Amino acid sequence: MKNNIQDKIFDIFNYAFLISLALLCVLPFIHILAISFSSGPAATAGKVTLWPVEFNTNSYIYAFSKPEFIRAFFNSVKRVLLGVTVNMALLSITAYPLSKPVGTFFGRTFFSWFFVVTMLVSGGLIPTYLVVNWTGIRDTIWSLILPTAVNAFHLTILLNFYRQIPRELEESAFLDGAGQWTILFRLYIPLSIPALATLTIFNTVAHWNEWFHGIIYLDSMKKYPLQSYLRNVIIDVSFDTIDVNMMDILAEVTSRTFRAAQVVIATVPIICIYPFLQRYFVKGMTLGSLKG
Amino acid sequence: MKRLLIMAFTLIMAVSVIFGGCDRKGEESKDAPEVTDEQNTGTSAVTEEKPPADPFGKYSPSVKVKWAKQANPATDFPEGDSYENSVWTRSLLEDMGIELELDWQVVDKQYETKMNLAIASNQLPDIMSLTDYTQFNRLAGADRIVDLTELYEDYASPLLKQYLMEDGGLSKSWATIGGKLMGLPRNGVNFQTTRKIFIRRDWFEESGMDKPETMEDVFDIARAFKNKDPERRYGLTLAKKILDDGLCDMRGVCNAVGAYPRAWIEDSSGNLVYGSVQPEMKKAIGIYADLHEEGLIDPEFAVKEAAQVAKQLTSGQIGISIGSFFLPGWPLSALYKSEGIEWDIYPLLPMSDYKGELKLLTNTPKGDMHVVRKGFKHPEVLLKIMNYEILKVSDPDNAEQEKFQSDENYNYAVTAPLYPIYGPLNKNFKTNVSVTKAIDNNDTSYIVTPQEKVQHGRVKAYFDAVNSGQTPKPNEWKAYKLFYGPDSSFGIQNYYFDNDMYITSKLVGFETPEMSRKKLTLETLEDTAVVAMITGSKPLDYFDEYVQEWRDLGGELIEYEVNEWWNSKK
Repeated sequence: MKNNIQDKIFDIFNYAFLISLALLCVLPFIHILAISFSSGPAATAGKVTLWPVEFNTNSYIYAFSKPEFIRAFFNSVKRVLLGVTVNMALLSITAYPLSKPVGTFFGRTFFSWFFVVTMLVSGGLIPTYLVVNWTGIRDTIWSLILPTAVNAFHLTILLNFYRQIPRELEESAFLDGAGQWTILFRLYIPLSIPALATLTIFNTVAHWNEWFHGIIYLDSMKKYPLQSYLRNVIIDVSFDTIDVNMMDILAEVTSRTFRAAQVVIATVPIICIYPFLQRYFVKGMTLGSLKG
Repeated sequence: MKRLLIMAFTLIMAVSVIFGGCDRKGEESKDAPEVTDEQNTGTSAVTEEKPPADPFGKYSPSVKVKWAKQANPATDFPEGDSYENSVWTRSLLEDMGIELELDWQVVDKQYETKMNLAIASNQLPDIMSLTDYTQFNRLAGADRIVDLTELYEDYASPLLKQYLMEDGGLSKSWATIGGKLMGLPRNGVNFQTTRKIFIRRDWFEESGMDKPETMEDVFDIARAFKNKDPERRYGLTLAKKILDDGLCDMRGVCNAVGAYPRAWIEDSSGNLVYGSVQPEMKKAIGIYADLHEEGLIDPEFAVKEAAQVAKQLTSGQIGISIGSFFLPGWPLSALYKSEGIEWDIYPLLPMSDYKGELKLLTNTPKGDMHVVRKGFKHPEVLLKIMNYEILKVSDPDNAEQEKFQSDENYNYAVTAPLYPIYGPLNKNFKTNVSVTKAIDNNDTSYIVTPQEKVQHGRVKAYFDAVNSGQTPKPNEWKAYKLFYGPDSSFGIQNYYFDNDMYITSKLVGFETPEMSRKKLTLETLEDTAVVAMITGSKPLDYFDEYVQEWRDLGGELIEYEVNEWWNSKK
């Protein structure tokens, strides 16, 4: 088969295509990495492409000496730990009853749609804000966690994964005297590790990268998670209302190396998590979605 | 199964409709007690003995004031300080008995969203700045902000009144709705944003060309720059916000042929017309189309952010920019710092075949306002804070600029609760005159205002360094380029000013109903049409088609509405 010349040509093109695709994703990151290790003037003058010019680590030292940055970093860590725990706990126990056949769980269809509807229509910014406001969680970390606690898409994945676990397992456990909780925790959850690992990654990434909720629900920048904080540092400045005071500040904004360093630091934790969970990743996605 | 589904859906929809209805009701009923609350305090204030109004009176005990801050991401604070606890909050508490409590803060562009949420959830801070005139209009119409007419008379300090009226009451008229002063305007007309020509000196000297006298000369110089060295990629700057980007738009060239994009200008018959669809605009586009064909502007300009174009300037790819006053501050000071490159600034020049008067379009003010929430017990606090800020920053006798405006390390003015702080309307223009006189005659008696002191110090340091053979600091160079002599940014502004060369959109901060509906669509149409004609994907004659489309898409109705308003005002 390998001898087939057509296959070889195909392979060459395929690899070339995939490599260029991979480069497209990786190059911007390498560019930022190079800038973060370059000297300020070189970066501002646009001399840095993929390799640092006048290598130094000043911007990293500066970033780690900036209390706002450290605080935002730990806010994000806290948010991810808390948020992912809540997400996974609610997902695994919500998907369980919904994975049962209608005969076993009356009203299953209604409850399924109760969640699925949120995939189709959303409440919109202002009504959601009002709910967050009235429940009194605005300006607390819970405003970043509870509104997105159960994601219907994730629920569907897990639910379908649960469904393809053989019913006989459950029945035999039932005969041995196991209750619903035991079946869930001793059978379903250990058997669903691939799906759960996948969803953990999804949720971790989502919580780590989400910035908009931080900006609208939190009132003080001290509580901002890292991405909301970075959003503030990186956005461009409008020239409409500029005056002499603002101009002084503009000159300082252009410390591109510092911004790049912060972006790199923010990306590293998520990159570190992938290798650990990745072996479950592919399996989890396909199993959950295809066999349902 | 199917029936169940349908039932579930219907149920959910019904529930959401009910809740949707509840929302609005809830809001209205929440509004109601607040209004009566205000009426109570209003009547009690009348029956009680009214204390004499003192613009600088200290509250005792102190008053708590909730406020919201449009933060600037780049603001640096001294150790331990923040917007909640800054030199301003501490001094206001100590001197005026005003205890500022920061309700929320958010960075520039999210401010409008956050304010909309605060309005929708009925959680307005006591004093706030509105960055959107429509918001202001709506809040004033819904009676949710305080009428400041009388308070202004009683509590505004003489300096505040003087500064506010320096533009002849123009900005105050935006803040007046139905004869009532509903807010304090945040910015006046920004004269300094008119365009000037910045030319890189070392390349210019190398080219051996004469000083430009028309716009064509500028293009010739750009051509000479580009042909000299393949490293220099383009002649002129241009970025994707082609009509209104202070760094690198086409407004300068437009003005050079008498076109005023994005502005409502009076025509010969006294009616207001929209600048972007006038025949002069076609000419300006034609000029850029030629420049594009010749390769003098970046063919990718339509996707370039201003910051990227700034990089083209600082990395030696472009040597001419037709931009706003701030270029020496950013990005050119970075290039001065790294390579010591000098720039020359020229006033805008007309095209040689332009017969009309050369007029420079200012930015259209957005009509931002400082307002007070209705129901707040001490609405005069807004005026008192503004009085205090002016006293500490702009008052020639009492200002403490080092403490409240800026020192070497920090800029304190931007952290003030009501920013920007009022000063003389054209204080930068005047600073140019007095700094120049003081340096030329070596006489500091010309230096009066706090800002003049700071800038004079820097310009003097610049000359001291030059005379002793040292390299001036970027900060000093910047002050020199901005303020010293007739060829500085503000020297040229003064030249424009003395010759009455300014033109401002007649329609400020006001939106007609059709405009609020269609503005975005029409501006997108403008941008795409102009880009298409410049890049040559559409011929220049497409202009007439574009104007017709603009009219059909609502432009005609807007023009009618605007003129109705304009005539009613006359």
